[in-house]
Amino acid sequence: MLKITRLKLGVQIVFFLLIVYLGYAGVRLIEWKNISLVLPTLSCYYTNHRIAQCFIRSLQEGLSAGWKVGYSTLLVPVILLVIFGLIFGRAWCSWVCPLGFVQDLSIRIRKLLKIGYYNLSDNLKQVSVLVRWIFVIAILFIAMGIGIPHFFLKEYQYDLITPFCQICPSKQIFPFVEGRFKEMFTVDTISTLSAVMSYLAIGVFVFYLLTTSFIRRMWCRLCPMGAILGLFNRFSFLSLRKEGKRCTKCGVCQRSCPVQVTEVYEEKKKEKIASSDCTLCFRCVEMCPEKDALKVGLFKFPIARSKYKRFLQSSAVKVTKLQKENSR
Amino acid sequence: MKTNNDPKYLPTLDPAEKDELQKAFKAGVQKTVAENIEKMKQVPNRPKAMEYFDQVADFFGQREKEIREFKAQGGKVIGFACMLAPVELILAAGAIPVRIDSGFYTPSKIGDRIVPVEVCPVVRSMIGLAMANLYPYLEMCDVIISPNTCDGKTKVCEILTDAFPVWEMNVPRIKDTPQAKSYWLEQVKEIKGKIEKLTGRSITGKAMRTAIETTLKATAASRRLLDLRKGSPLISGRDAMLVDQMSYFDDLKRWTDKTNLLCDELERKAVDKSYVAAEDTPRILLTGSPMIWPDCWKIPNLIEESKPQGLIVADEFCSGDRIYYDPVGVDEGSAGDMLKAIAERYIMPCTCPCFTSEDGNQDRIDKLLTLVKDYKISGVIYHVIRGCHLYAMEYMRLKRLFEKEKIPIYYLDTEYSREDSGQMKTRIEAFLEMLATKTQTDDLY
Ligand code: SF4
Ligand code: SF4
Ligand code: SF4
Ligand code: SF4
Repeated sequence: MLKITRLKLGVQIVFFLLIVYLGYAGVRLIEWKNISLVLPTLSCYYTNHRIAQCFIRSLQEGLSAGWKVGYSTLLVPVILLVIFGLIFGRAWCSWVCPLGFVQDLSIRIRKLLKIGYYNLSDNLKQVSVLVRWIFVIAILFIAMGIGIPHFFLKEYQYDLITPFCQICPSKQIFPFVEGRFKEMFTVDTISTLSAVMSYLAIGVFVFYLLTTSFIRRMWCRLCPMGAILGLFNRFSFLSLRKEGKRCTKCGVCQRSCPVQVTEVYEEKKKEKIASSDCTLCFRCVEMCPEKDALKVGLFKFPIARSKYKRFLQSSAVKVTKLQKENSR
Repeated sequence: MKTNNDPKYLPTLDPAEKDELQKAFKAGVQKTVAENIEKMKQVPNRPKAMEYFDQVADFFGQREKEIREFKAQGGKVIGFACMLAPVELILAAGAIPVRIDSGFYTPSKIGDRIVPVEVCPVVRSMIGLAMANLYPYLEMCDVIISPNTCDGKTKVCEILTDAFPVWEMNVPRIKDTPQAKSYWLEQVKEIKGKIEKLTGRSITGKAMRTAIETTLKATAASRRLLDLRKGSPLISGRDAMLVDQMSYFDDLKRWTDKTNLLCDELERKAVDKSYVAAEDTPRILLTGSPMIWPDCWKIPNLIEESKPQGLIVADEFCSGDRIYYDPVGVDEGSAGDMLKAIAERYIMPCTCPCFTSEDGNQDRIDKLLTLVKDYKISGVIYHVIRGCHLYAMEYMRLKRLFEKEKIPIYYLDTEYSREDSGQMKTRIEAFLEMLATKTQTDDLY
């Protein structure tokens, strides 16, 4: 039986290489009739030869260009977002997003060192949801504001251009990944506002570095892309499903969830667990020791189910030489 | 082991009387054990692998000697009074865990000298064992871990402090909250420290990992046996219950191996269609107060020997299938995470009625309904030993739900003594009769 985590790691590596490095092999940003491939992930603009575009980037560029020229360019990214979101929900976050992968790597390193992690308290969890929506609203407001003639933000268009990119941790990480260290932490002092944005960026990045290993997927809890994608979790074709009657409420799923989704453990009635925090990584499915309690669903059909054998395979305590394969 | 405190409850018995009680106890137990095993052997096509468990079931045998030798070499034995004690930590420190819940009838009569007969017989029996120093596995304990679950268990361990050092654990009655979880984790940490001090061995991450691996394998074996009981009758319920319970004091690794051997045999028997009962025998689920070897075999004997016969295919007992059912789910391998996983394993999935919740122990109900479905249960017997209030009190809710689902459920209240055997027989027969005719009429339509 294929281990979900292993499959996921494979998929993440493949996408990481595709998105970040395929360009080096001569493949250019996939464009067709001026329409580029926009993925609902942080596939960052600041990689040299990316083959897909970050949705947040496109959103900002489109809005800032004003309604005459800019808004029409948003049509394709938004259509793609809806299609991708409807099919996969937030699975993009745990299976494709390069920044998500980078975070998983730092978690893996910590795990290898057998160091523990911290959880956010319920209050901080709520704060994180608030922050991610503040990001979304700020992006919409600033990017749009720049695009409106005579609006006061127009004046600051050079300081505030692609405002989220200015502070996004990807902007430092991908130049690092590609070895362009000089392009990290560029402080722009052309105006006070630029300087503020530069230091804000450094602040965000320092926060990212400090938390990335020790609070699992901390950035994802603040990410505006994640916030938007989360809206699709309720409708997505790919989903996390639960058979409440089979759940013993052992709490293993909740403890294993990297983004601290509580619904997966608490819910006993609803079949679809559609928390907007859930990144559909399915760690909970492989860690649930109860047969069929949790399932990976495509529409209503289960394509993978929890069972004891899968649990043993996925548990951090390895069980060697099990006498007979266990079907439960 | 004696403690220095002045006795609070337990009177000191006259040595001559003690001696007499001990002899009578040993003879009585061996007789009951032999009788029960004889009855179980009457089951057609009984698996050969049960022989091992039959041997362990005689308390005064090989295993007792093994533990005595282990102790002579300085090994520590840690008793526990309830399945909420973290066995992995005991194993990780190289000590032997022994569960001391008592299923003996005669000691409960000795216990009557201290507590009234209204008190649950498990408790009275444990008191009797301690008072007259009857039971080798209790006597060998260096310390007793007592998770304070039901009222009886809570108080019996206070009484046992007269004879043993007791480490109490404060079980949060409402378990589903973050506060409860962290509170319980603190208790587990404290017990860990105490075990380390007693054994002089520090419980490292590596030791914990090995211990968890041991119990995960035990869970695998236990679930394997359970799976084999879902289909045609390959093993009697009494045999399966005995297997479950021998994990009380057997070496866990050996127990796992032997259980797996038993499962191998059952798998062969499934191919040969060598069944222990007719395939249409009504399938019984037992739930409620624990049934502990050997004196509580009264009811299962009656069920499986009655005419019409019943076959126990599953139970929801803390003395049965539940013992090693739930695994320790370790998500990350750090010592802290393992400890958390161990702590949660003991309270979170536990269906004991000592926990309370607004939804009315819905987890237990879901578990039972799932068992009914998966094991194709014909009827449920709700066992309550007099004095076991929590199980008795939860019955009404269950009854209502089960009747709504049209699942026959029968309340059977009894004692440790055999005096009510005749009455029990009549009642069980009536219930099974009803199930048998029901299966027949169901078949007709
Ligand atoms: S900096 Fe962030 S928001 Fe901007 S393109 Fe890169 S990943 Fe997207
Ligand atoms: S939440 Fe954002 S950073 Fe995290 S995986 Fe999703 S898109 Fe990437
Ligand atoms: S891991 Fe499975 S059984 Fe345990 S609480 Fe989660 S869904 Fe329920
Ligand atoms: S709930 Fe399950 S699938 Fe969703 S993020 Fe948590 S572990 Fe992953």
